[in-house]
Amino acid sequence: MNFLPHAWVPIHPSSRLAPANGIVAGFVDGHEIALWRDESGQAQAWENRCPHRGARLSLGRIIHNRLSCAYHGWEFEANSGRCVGIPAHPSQTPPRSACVKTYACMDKGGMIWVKRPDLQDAGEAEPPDTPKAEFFCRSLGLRIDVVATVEALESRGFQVCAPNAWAGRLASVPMIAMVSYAQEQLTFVHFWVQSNRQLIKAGAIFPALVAFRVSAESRMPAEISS
Amino acid sequence: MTFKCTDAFTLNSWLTIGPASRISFASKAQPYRTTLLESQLAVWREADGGVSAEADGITVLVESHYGYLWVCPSGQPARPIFEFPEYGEAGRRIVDCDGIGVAVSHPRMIENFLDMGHFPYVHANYLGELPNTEVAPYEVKHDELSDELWADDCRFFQPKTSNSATQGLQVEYKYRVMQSASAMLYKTAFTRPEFMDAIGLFVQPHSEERITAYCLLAYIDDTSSENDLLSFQHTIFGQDKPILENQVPRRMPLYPGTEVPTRCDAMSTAYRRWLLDKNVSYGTVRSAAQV
Repeated sequence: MNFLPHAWVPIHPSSRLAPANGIVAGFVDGHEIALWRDESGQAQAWENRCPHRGARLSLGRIIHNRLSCAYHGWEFEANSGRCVGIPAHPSQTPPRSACVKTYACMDKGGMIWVKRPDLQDAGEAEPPDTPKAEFFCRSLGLRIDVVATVEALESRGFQVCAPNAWAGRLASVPMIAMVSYAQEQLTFVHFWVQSNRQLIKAGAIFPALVAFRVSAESRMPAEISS
Repeated sequence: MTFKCTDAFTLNSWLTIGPASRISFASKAQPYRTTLLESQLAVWREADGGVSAEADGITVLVESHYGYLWVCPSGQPARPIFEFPEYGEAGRRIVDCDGIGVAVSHPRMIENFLDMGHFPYVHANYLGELPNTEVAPYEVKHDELSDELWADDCRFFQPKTSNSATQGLQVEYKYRVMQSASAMLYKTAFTRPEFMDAIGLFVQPHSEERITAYCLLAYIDDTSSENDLLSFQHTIFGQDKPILENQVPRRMPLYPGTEVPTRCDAMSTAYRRWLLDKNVSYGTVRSAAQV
């Protein structure tokens, strides 16, 4: 098994998150993340919990370049995560303690990477270089742990090519699989293809991904019993 | 102890197990079955009209008040059931809205009920609307005699305060916490603004993170059908449910620093302090290490 822990985890394809439009719920290393972009395009990875009453911020919306919580409309500014507006008290300056926990977050090689909370202060200033992959294909959320996921990939001939990345073929199509540990018994695999879009449109890849999911998740019982 | 709960305050309180109508046709052989504090309850009506209940086969103390069934898990209630004079008041319509299941702790549910700040966001076009988001200061009192919490002089502009409302209204509210899982609110009756409608929220904790929230109306309203009154409450509770089920953690944190209140949360802050003073551990998180 070639899973080398790296501080940066690929959690979402960059092209699937538009500036100031929508919030995506993600996971990194057992933590829930609310992912969004400000108007300038800078990706924001925040703890998915409002500091006021604990509501998941991924239920909120982006208004005036701020994330507004769905429960009481508290508004938090990009980058700092600081609360800059409490609608119930429009003339009050929000307390400094009303601040969302933020994580280091970068776009690189077509993915949004989030730095693991336990390694925020570690080296690795940037996400690793990954092999050039042209087209994002699909993300699979697998109900198995990261070790079982990597074993499933490697049993199909995939070989590690970069931290968190494996190269191989599904349905004879060359692919890159980027793996992120989400939480216990939940792992995401982001598949990229190196050839052109026609192959995706032809439809051969999706049945292969479904078959991969079924075989990867069905490895579970055998491992538990052994 | 059959109940999976260790704090004396919760065990010595009256917890609802649903409307009394549940046992209309129940017998010892075919009882109404439900769960309370992770214990399996069987409840039935005796031939003499009395109510009997067993938790995991052991007899427990059960009483019927205000059309609802109440169990005291320890069998040693700290005080009698709370006063609800509006229930028997002439001219009031009693409408039982029954319950809605919510995957959350009972303190989170009660706190949501005591909160005006979420009206324009969670109940937009009903109990609030932008840009009228400001919550005016209100007074919170602890009634030493009844050990109840009251919030008086609460005011909020509501576009549609109830089913009978035909236009927006500056509505006056009073909130009341009688027990850790029971609360009432009193609000201006739309058709008779000199009176206040009363709404009871009775929460049945099935477990620390799963409840049923029952709603009982004692309304001054001659115009709405029972179905319309019920539907309105179901709409409101249906709007709260997805928010409540997305609070992290599901149990209510009672230790300082984890959730930041503001001035309009005065009632919520008083309720949390009240739970802390009573050492309520069921449905709460009392230290960061427990999360």
